[in-house]
Amino acid sequence: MNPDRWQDVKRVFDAALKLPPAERPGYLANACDGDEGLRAEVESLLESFDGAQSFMEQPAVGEVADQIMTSQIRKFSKGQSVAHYQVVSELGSGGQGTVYKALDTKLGRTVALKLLPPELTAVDDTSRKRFQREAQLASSLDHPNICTVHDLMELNGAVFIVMQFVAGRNVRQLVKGRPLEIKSALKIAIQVCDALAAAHSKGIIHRDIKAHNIIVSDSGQAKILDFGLAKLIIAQSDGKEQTELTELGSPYGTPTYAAPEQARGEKVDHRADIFSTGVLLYELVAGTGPFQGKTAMDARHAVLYEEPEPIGEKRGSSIPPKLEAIISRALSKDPADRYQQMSQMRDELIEVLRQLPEGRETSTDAFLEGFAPARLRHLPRLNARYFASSVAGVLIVAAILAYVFFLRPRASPLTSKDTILIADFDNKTDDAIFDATLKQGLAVQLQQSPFLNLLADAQARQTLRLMNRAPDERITRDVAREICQRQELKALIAGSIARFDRNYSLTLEAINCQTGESIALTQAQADGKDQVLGALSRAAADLREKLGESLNSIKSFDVPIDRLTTGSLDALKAYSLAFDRSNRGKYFESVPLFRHATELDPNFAYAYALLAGNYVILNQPRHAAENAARAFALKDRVSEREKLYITNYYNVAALGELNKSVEDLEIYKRTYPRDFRPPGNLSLTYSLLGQFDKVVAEARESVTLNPNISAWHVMLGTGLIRLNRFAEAKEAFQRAFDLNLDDPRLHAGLYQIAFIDNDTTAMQHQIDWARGQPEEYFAADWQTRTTAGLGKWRQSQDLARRAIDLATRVDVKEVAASYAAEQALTAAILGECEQAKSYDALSLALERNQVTLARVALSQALCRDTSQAQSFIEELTKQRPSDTIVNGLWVPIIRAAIELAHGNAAKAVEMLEPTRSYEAGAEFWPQYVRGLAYLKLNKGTEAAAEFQTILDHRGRAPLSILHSLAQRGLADAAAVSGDKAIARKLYDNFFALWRDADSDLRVLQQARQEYEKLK
Amino acid sequence: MSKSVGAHDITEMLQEWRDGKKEVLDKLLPLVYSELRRQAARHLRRERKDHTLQTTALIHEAYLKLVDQRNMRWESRTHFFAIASQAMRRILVDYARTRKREKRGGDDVRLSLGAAEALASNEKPVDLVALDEALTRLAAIDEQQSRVVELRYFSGLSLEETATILNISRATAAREWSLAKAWLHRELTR
Repeated sequence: MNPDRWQDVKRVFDAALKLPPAERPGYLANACDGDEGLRAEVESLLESFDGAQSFMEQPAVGEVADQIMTSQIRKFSKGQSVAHYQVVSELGSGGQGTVYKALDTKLGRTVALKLLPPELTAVDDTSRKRFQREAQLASSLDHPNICTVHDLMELNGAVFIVMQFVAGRNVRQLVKGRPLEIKSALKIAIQVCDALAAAHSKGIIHRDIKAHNIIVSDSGQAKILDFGLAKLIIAQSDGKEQTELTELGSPYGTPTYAAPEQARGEKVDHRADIFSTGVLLYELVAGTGPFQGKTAMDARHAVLYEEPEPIGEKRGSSIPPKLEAIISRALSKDPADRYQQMSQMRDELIEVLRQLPEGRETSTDAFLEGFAPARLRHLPRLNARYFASSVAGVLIVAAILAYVFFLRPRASPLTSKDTILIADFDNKTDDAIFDATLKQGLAVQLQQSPFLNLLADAQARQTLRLMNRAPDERITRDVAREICQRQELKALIAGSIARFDRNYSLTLEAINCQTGESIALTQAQADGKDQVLGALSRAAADLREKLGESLNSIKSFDVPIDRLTTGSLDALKAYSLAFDRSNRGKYFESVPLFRHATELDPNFAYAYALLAGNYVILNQPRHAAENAARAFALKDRVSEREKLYITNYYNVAALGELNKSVEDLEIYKRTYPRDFRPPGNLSLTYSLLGQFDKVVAEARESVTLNPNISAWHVMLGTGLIRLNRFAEAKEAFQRAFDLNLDDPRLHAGLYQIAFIDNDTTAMQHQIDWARGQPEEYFAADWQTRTTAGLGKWRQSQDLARRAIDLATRVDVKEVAASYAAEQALTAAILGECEQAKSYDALSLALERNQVTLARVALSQALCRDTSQAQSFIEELTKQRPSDTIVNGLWVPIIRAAIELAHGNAAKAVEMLEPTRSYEAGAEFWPQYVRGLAYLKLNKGTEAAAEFQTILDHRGRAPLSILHSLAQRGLADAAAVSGDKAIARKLYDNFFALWRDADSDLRVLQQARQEYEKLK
Repeated sequence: MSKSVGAHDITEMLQEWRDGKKEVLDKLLPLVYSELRRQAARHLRRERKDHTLQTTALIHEAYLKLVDQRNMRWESRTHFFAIASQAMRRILVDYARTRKREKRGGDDVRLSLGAAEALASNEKPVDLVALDEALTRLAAIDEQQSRVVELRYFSGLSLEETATILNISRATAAREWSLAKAWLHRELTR
């Protein structure tokens, strides 16, 4: 057709198309003006157009996608390799897919593969994700009666579930129309109830409990299959009713098992499972189900309107009336008439089992036939022991659970982990907010996985140095690959963000570091800036799935970022900055940023937890407790790993339950062995417990795993100081400085070592460091304590005022209060009780936390104001009822001091006995008070031993005044023992130490009097 | 994408092409094609419902990978789409051709629910191979119409987007689309 001609066709066609069909012939006749060729062409095109309504309206990709769908795999064949599974044999098939036995060639274990029919998986991503989440959640219950789902995989369009292989028969095969022995039926039903009770407690409903979904192993263990699958069916069916009675899934449940409300298509809750379990139990006891029908319609009618045939008649023999009542209640049409909790039904079934006569185990029913003899014998004995005696139901539950535990398979071994590196995001937008936040957000998201280990950013930066690059250089994809190769990592993840008008497009790609090949790629679109983090979260989840992460390995697969961290980009940005500052020891910068993050997103659980951690470091226990409690209140929103972290801060800061902290952290450490946080936090807890060798070991582990957190270097160095290993401590601190970390406590440690070394230059060096810093109050406090330790009490008081003033100025009132309380204690031990009282008052006016209350109480006890001290003990124990250190250490010390004030020295020694396990961390107070008590008892040797302990372990509290006073104590002890010459020598030592002391100090004057007596 | 060609080169080529250096297209198209095909293979299997969105996402993705956006003028994006839609056409047609060959090999496939529904609603599957041939013939008559079809049908773009990329009015794009549909439909039902 020539172009001119075509233009004519176009013109006439367009005009005709705009007209109603009836007017077209007239128009054409007119417009073509006798050109019949033109008219015929346009007419034919118009006709074609009318028949082409849907033609090409679906984009071409749809045609291809449909073709791909129709070609989806529907069968595996024997010997076929599917991913790393090798198909061994077909186990059976039904409407919900075909199940195969297969070998996991990676882990060398036998698994079952369930290949889902394409119809079932042709649902939207949300439904599939939900299914995956439910399956994984149920699996994560780690319940012996729930079949573990290892993975959900997709390969060439085929979707299959990889699950635990259970050798056994399903209940339908087991029953085969014949009633089971009551005892066997009960044992199966109890296990099903227990598993469902566990699932329900997590908010998971099965929705499709039926004979086919319960497998009973040869050892008699029941396993529920297909958690979550029912939801997939609902999503797929989209409201289409099924008319045939098949095993195929239906949104209304399996007709003969589904509860009436489910059959009506109403919203169901866990009580639908209770109904279905009732049907199952009926079937176990009677041989066939209570509701029958040739078609789905008939069956549903029966479920909705008919009462089941009396079970005894159907079974052909009577059953315990209680069992009949249980079944009947479970089968109530109205959910409100059923058991309201699965556990209730379970407990009543256990009661029925308990009341059954003994000695009928040699049955021939199908269930017991399969019982392995050893187990057969074991179970009745266990039963006999507990059941024969009329112990309470609680014990029976314990026995059943013990039985279940006994049969429990071992958890599958963890596979080795691969470390991966995240490159900096390629930010193709103009918006700088994405620069650091996306990487941080992705890291948090990926850290949920115990199987993916991320190379710490700082480690990557160190490698940059080896590559002769600036450590702050952007880690682009290429740079990342080089780092990755040097570190022999498996993979890197490169991400990018770009903007199309108001939409954002995020891409994540995992790349094999060695070959540079793409391993997985995913993309997510965000409809606006505020949706970017959500998109990132989806992309990260998708990436993990594509990287082959097993469902079973992750406990919180689908915690999206807005719950995991925050949905607010600004909050994440504040958090990222805070995190960086906090790691580098800049707490005065990190605290306001963390606070800001929590203001931007008040549900930002992790930010509260890190804030609590910062407050612990800054010695602000009340703030720490408050934030730890806030984080803890939000803990159900976060991932398992964050939950462990948050729980620890709650244990430590809010409750002070340090033994629980150790237990929980050990679990955390085992679960995430390459996470630096559990050993770091363990070192913190051990330091509070005074177990310094463990502090050193754990802190060392933490800095090895991630050398870039100043807090754990501090913990390592300080732990070494506490063990008198000063040279190593210095090295540890120096390492932190080398890594560009700075932390006021590094300086505190160096000051302590300098003081012990009597190196005034080095001490001055640290004081100079503090000048002008917000942490200047630290230095004032060090000086307060060292001058007091030399008996320069007036100077010490001036310095204390300055320290308190500086701390108040930078708004760390809790610290100011603790300084006042510490000074009160010093005054009290120096015998300056008037001053002690005024420091007490100052301290209490500023803060009444456990630190101040304990010290104030002890100072008052030492000053013999025992009733005041007693009332503070009450306030303290009321405030911290389960605090390990308050109750295990401080309260006994205060009580001992009270006894001492009352003249009951022997009682005082006795009171101090329980503190021994914690006293290494108690800054010498238990030993000193005990030493005083022994002096009162004229036990010179024992007293000397206590004072000597203090002198031998100076590193435990280098700045403590008790170190000086222990020298005098040693002299007193020698005097008590009658070793006059030695005593004189020791007093001389003490006087030499206090040569510059205020001469009017009571302690000094008393010592001189004692000395005189020895002449 | 071969390793020697970076985002920068592609950006440069796109700009050269825009500036009238038509022979660049021969170098550019294979690059876009291989990238898109790589992405498509991965995405199509996961794809379920919203094909339009998915196609666009594919092209966005390829765009992100291939083009250095910082050195690229905004209009160049439209050129990229133009190229990408040609690449998409090739990919999809190739795919359909392969499937056709496989089917002749006696592959016994059951109808999927989706395909069954399509039949029920009188939506006949489109023979992409035949359509491709017809479209080539259409291009000889009317280049612009064939481009509209590429953008609309193979890239899943809206009429508005198509109009923007071809720098024509929406009304023109709609007219071109109607006639192309009528013409192609007739070719395919002949």
